[in-house]
Amino acid sequence: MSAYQVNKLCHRLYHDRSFRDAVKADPAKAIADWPLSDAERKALLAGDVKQLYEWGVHPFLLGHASRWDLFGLTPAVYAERIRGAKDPA
Amino acid sequence: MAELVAAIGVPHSPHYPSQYPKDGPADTSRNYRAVKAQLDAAKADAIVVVANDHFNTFFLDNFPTFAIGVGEASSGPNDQTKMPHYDFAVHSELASHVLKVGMNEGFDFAVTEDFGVDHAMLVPLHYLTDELKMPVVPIWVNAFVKPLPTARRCFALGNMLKGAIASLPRNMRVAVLATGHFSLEIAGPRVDPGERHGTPDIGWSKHVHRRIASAEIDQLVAEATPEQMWKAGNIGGELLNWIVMLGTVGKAKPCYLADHNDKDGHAFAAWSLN
Repeated sequence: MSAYQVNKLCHRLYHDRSFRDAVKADPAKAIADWPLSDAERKALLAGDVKQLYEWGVHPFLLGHASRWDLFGLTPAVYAERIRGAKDPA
Repeated sequence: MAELVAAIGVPHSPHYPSQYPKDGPADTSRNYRAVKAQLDAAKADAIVVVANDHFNTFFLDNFPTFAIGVGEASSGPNDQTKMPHYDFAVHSELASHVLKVGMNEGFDFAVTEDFGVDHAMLVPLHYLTDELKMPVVPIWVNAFVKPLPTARRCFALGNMLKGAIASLPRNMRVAVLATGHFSLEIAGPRVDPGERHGTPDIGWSKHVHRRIASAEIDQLVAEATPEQMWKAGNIGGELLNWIVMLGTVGKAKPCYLADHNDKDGHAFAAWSLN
């Protein structure tokens, strides 16, 4: 599975305030048009950063979500979930 | 001919400017001041900065292993680092010369003429220059998107850079600045509990520090394998920025090297080369 679109989405979160605000307001609606797989969409909306990391999403991009508590990811929740994740092959 | 007069290595963490005033009492502020004193004494006319982008200048649609900025001017930070905004000059003559010499010697840089720079360049320049009036030549090294360039290749790039500076047909003084950590994990599995960061291999960082103190650079280049740098954290590859700079230094020992501590996987170092 290519993590590229999730990487791109996380990059957009950091650099595009209007997209970030939209994700904050209604995450499912804001990412509805992104070409993610069903599994990626589900993991992202659940804030499952361990799974996304293991699929190859770059931690510097994934970590942006926790700067604004997006997808339920406060810094504390993010740290708890990412710790112990396995490096992608 | 241009002359390489100083080499510098420092960390570049984005939280520093808001946390540590330039004239503050903390070790971070004091170490930047100590290094700045060495750079001031070198009276450089331009500074080559070797650092890694963090998906702010470049992205995965086209991520360069090595890149150089050759425009007339730039600005930043282009990320959300809390620090003053700087507009600054690029030394386009030196940058174009390094590009040309690099190409002739087999270093195929990606080239950008229109770019901003992120905290990896601007945090150190904020502390080390006076309002960034010194023109800059930015060189980026991929330090965190696998596969990384090898330490051997980065060292050779530094050797090339040294020769390129020496062959620029202009009477000017040039400094080389490398930025980054030796051990640091950001937002990955090895962060500390409840934190955004961790230092997974402080022992490696201390070892790198000892190698630098003793000018054992050939050994360091051999030891800085992809596996070892990754073990030191997901930006353990920032050591590669330092290794480019060390390729310009030769066998000289640093004239300033701050003591290593037990928590920070980085160093502050300066070499006087003229």
